[in-house]
Parts: sequence; C-alpha cells; structure tokens
Amino acid sequence: MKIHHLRTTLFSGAKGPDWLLWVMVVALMSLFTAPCGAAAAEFYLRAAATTMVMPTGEQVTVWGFAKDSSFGAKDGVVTVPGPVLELPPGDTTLVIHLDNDLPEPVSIMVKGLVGSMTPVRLPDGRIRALNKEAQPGNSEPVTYTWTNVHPGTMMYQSASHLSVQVQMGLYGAVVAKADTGRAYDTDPSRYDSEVLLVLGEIDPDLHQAVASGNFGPGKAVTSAIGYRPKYFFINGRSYTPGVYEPAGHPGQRVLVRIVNACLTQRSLVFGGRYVLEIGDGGFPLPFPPQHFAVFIAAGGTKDVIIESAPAGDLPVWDERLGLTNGGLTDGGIFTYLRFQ
Amino acid sequence: MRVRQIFQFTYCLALTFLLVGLLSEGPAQATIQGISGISFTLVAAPGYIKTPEGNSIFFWGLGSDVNHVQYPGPTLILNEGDTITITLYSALPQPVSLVFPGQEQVQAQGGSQGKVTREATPGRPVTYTFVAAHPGTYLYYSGTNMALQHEMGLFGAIIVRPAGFDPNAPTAYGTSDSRYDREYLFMISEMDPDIHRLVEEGRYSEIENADVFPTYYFINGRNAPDTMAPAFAEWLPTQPYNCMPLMHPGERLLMRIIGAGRDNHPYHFHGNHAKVIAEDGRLLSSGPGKGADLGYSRFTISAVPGHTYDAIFQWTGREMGWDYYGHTSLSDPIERGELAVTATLEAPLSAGSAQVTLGGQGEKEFPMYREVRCLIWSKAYPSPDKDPNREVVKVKRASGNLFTISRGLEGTTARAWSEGDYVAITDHGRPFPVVLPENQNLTFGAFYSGSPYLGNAGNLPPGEGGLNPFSGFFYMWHSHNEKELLNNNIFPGGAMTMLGILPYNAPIE
Repeated sequence: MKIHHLRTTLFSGAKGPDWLLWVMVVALMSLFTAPCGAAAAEFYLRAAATTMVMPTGEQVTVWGFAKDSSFGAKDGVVTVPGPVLELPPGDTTLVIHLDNDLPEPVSIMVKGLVGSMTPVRLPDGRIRALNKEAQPGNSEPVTYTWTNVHPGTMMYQSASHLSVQVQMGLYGAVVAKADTGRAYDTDPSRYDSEVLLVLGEIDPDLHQAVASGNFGPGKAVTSAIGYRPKYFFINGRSYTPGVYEPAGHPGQRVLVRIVNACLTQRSLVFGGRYVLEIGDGGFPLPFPPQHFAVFIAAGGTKDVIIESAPAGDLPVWDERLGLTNGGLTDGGIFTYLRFQ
Repeated sequence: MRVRQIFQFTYCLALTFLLVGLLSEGPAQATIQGISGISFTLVAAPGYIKTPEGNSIFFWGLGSDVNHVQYPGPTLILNEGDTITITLYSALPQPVSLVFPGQEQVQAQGGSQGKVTREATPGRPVTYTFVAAHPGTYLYYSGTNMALQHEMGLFGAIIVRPAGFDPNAPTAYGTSDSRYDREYLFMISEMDPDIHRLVEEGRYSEIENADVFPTYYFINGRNAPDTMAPAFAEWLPTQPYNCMPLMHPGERLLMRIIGAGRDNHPYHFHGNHAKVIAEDGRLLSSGPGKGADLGYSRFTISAVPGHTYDAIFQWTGREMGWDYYGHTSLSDPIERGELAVTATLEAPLSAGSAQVTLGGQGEKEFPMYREVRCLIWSKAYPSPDKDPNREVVKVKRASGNLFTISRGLEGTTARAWSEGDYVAITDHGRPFPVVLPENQNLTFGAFYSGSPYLGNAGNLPPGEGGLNPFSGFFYMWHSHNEKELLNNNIFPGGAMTMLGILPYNAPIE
C-alpha cells in the first residue's frame, strides 16, 4: 500500500520529484523486490485453542493454527498439527499473516528457512521470544516474509514461549515443491506420489495446567520440566483400527515427508523395508543412504522414498515405542501406508 | 573411580583372563556367540535375569525351549543368500510375533494375523521365512504390542556373513575395507523393573508404557561388570552373551552396534575413533565397487532405537608420545601394529632433500600439523626390520601430499630413496618422555601392571595390581549417558565394558 501511495504521488501529482523521495522509493522497492518478482504463497494463520478427543475419550485443550481466508475472517478450522503450508514449484516467497486468539503472545518461525528474525527482548536485554509477536486479540495481522524458500520439507512453529506453545500444538509442515515429480534438485528424489507424516505427542496434564491457568511461576505447575507425553500421533491422529494413509500404487516411488514435532527423537520403521533417505532438514542428501529405521531428530524433518512396495497396507511404527494411547496398548505413532 | 570400586568391578575381568589363559591354545579369531544354520526354532517364554547388584528381574525371552530362554534372544548367524526358516512357539500370555527389518521376501504362515505380521499363541506357532540376501548386522524383534514386548526382552541380533566368507580372512561386507581381525557385538538395551514386576504379577492394566523409567542398561543382555564375565557363565543362565572386547595393537576390531531399546544410547569408546562403515546392514558407499567411501569417524556412536552400525576400531601406539613397547634400540624387532600408517614415495628422494611427496593408502592418515617419527625403507623389503639401511626421519605435512622431512636421526644416514619406497609412522625406539615417579608417590589401579609398557610388568607393592596378567592397556567402553552406568542407581555398572589391548604374546579367544 505504501509503495503504491508513493508511486501515485511520484507519477501523477508531483511536478519535480524530490531526490529524497526517489531514494526512499528505490530503497523500499529493493526491499520488496522478491515479493514483486515471484508469486508469493500467502497464508492467513490464526493461533487459537480447541479441543481434541484422545483415544481414551479424554478431552484435551490444545493450541493450534487455522488457515483463514483473510485476516479477521476466522473461517478456518483450528487443527493440530496446523495446516500444511505448501509452496508450488518456483515459488520462493512465503508470507504468513498471523492472527492471535490465544491468551499469550505468539510468533512464527520456519525451521529450515533463513529469514530475518526480530527477537523480543526483556528489559534487561535477554531474548524472550525469537521473532516478532502477535499480541492476544491483535487488530492488525503480524506479517512474516521469507524470500529465499528452497524446495524441501520444513517445520513451522511458534517462536514464543517454546517449551509451552510447541507442545500445546503450535506447529505444522511447510512443503516447498521443487518441480513435478522431484522433491529436490536431485535424481534420487524423483517420486510418483507423496505422503506427509507429521509426528506429535501430548502430555494431557501439562495441557490441562496451561488451559486452566495453573501453569507459570508461583502456580501449580511452574515449568515444563515434568513433561511426560502419554498420547502419540501421526497427523494429529493416534492409531485406531481402520486408519491408513493412501500412499500410491504398488511399485511406485512414494515420497514420505516426515516432520517430527515431538520433543524427542523418533525412529520410524516402514514394515522392515529399506527406504532411501533423500532429504534431511529441508535439504537434499547428495548420497541417499538406505535405512530400515529412519531417525528423525526432535523438531527435524526427513524425506524418504519407498521403492516398489507391493499392493497392500505397509505398517509404519515408531521404534522409540511411542506406541500407546494413555494406558491403552497398540496405538500411538502407528499407521498403514496403503498401496493399491 | 576409587580403587576399591575398581577392585569390585574388575573381579570378574580377572576371572575372565584366567579362563582365557587356561583355555586358549594360541591366537584365534574372537567371534560373536550365536547359533548358525538355516532353520531355527524359537520359543517365547518368561524367565528371570540377574543383575550385578543382586536383583532378579522377570522378563520375556526367546530360546530353544521354555526352560532356556535368554536375554537378548539368540544371535542368528546366517550366510548371505540362504533362505531362513524360523518357527516361533509361544508360552506367553499374549500373542507374540517376530519381524526381521532389512531381510527380503519375509513371509509368515500359521498363527493368526496381527497388526504387523502373523502372531503365535500357545499351541499355534508361526513359521517365518526370509532370504538373508545381503551381508551385514541386523536385528529382529517382536511385532506385537511392541511398547511392552520390546521392553520385556523379545529381540535379538542377526549377523549375515558375506558370500565366500573365509573365517581366516573375515570381512563384514565382502569388501577390503570391511575386513577385520576380531568382531564383537554391542547390543544395547534398557529395562524399567517396575514394568517387569507388573507383568510378573499380571497387573497389566496398571502398565503405562509411556511412563517407562529405565534403571538398568545392558550390553548383550548383561550389565557391567557382568559384561566382562565369560560367555555362557553358568551363574547367568539366561544371559549367555558377554561383551569383552580384546585385541592386539594394529588389529582391526569390528564393532557391531545395535540400538535394541527405546532410548538412544550414545556408545562411547575410549582409545581411538572408529570408522563407521555401514548402517542398517548397508555399506556407506557412493556406488558399487567404491567400498565404504562415505564412512565416517566417530568416538561416540549414538545407537538409535532399531538401528545397526558397523564400525572398524583400530589401536596402535601411533601418536601416543612414547614407545609403549619399551624398545630401546632400532635393532629391537618391529612389532605388528606399530606401522599402521604406511605411505609410499611418489618421487625419488635425494640424500639432501628436505621435501617429499607421499602417496599410497596411508598418506591421508598422516596428521595434518604434527611432526611424526617415521621410518623409510626400501620397497625391496616387506617390512623395515628386514632392511638394514632403513632410516629414521621426522615427517610433517606441508600442504596436500607434500611433506617436509628431517633426515638422519638417531644414528641413521641420510640416503637417497626411490619412488615407491615405504614411509611409515612409528614410535619404535622412542623412550618414555618422563621419568616415572617412585612407587610410594603413586596410587595404583587394579589394572596397573607396574609398567607403562605393553606386556611389561613392573614392581608393585604387595596387594596392588594383579588383575592384568598380560600387562595390557584398558579403555572403558560405555554409554556416555552417564546414568546408564548404574545398576538401579548403583555405580559402576550399566551399559559398560572395557576394551583390553593385549600384547602379541597374549592369547585372545
């Protein structure tokens, strides 16, 4: 809007443009070169609370993101993990407008993308939040821009009060496409179809403490040090019979993008098959190793290719054994990839 | 560690050496205990393991029959290309199954269909078949109620020998860079005894698998110091496998590391780096015929749940700073292991030259900035001790493969050498750099032989030393998550053992 206003002033009204104004215009335009040059993937995210029902029937308050159509529309559904932010091939700019309906300030960062961060500091200079924040009930969106998006699987999350907000559910996947049929600019990353698995976990006691205002200094739960997750998820769902992820046709090269939003590492096994690890942390691996267990660091991402799987359901499980739902056995980070 | 603790802790080690000394009939290749063949029967049943501080823990194991289950399950030693049949019988109160990550054409028959594979119940066995298509280190484990059944002990190791395996010239993957002199298994796991007690008492509904809090840590199913007791010790009937790595200097020790628990175990080995050549049974290679060219060196291997690692560990006196053999003269025989890094002259070297270009296999392993003591000898001789004209030099890398060289040391003469002649790092003949303190100023460990030289015993006061009959060097190999060095909060213990470097005249079985 500001650029537009200046341009209008320059080219329609002013008789002899002031040199200072020119300098300002050039400076502003150079700042916005990338957004002007390429199509920008633009998302209106809203952080808000919602309720998830655990497989045991327990209801847990979570904090998630919703994808709204515009700021203030509040027409998106709040989910954990948050909506997938997908960038089409060639799109190198990601813009997120943040709306905050939570009781505390929230911010956004994308792990795997370099962007200018504006930390929020305490009066004594210590950093309190890693990026500029949207205050509760903000009337204007807070906008974050990345102009250097490279192909890959990345993770966005809150950059404020991380020990609470990330485990409350403020995270999601960023998927930047390379070109048709390739995850990266490498030959082994070519694929026929793709699946996204976002791993998560919930400590219901900590959620309860945060939701009921019993978390913080001087309150019943003073910190997240006693974090003990009891529910484990793939794409926001614990395993329940009948759950599967459509993966592709038998024999296809299937790309599995894995985002680990758990606060601990996970070790995914794909039915004991070897998979090809073609990406790590949003960057390609030049010599993809073969593994029958895929290590994903806490907050990390991996891209793997499953080659020539036969028709049927390929079980996927976490060898770190996040395989339970509360006291219930046989659930958690377990699903089937369906090849049909 | 205080001396008294070391004493308790090494008692079993001394016993091991005693047995080793009595039973050995000369040098032989140490290997991994396990069962070989193409057809196996495994029975899943409950049992009890023992822990060094005196506890007895209920577990679910695998074995040849209900009275002979073990923790971990039997190590299956297979041959590349064989079709393997394993029949699983169960005497457990819940269904059980086995999965074989990394194996090909896995099929299951019998029993009933579970979430992952077919499951056995009492009276309804399952027969699994697979093709051991590739050499390497693998594992198997239960594919049923994994959060509980892995904790309870239902897993084991698989080793697949490469085609054409020669026990006298063994390799892990059939490639020259996977050759080894000795191999040892490090299957690392953990237990939370509270869960085992709930299972023992049938209180399944009280088990919260997400609240597991392990207090015991194992290598090959034993806690230290039992790791160092003999394999198949009769007082550990359900924990037959030990972990007592022993080697001579210069040998290649193959570490087969498996993360068999739910936690990461940062397995740390003192003494040197090891080169990781394979993960999950696959050589770290950029292409066929290139060997483990993507291998990497580590002094800690983080054993991630469900992963396997193969690493080559070597130990020589290189860069120790003194000649640990205690040689005093160049006329003393050269020891094997002393010349681990050998390069060749890439161009003739004149008698007056102070610059030399080196190539060949060992060149890259010469240190970057340090001056090292070397021997040059003629390519006409296989080793320097055969060449009467060998020359003692100091060599320091200048840049790339160009080295500066100091000639004519220790009474040798600067001579002209030809392209292709050998240059090897050695500490031979280098005296110990300090004068040792008097005995009355020393505190002794039970491992101290009384001498800083390998294979030499010195005078010790009465009651000191004595647990190191061959005067070897010892390095602790352990999980570096320090609480994993406890047996239910008692130190020392846990996922720990010692590497013994023994002199050449000491037998290793």
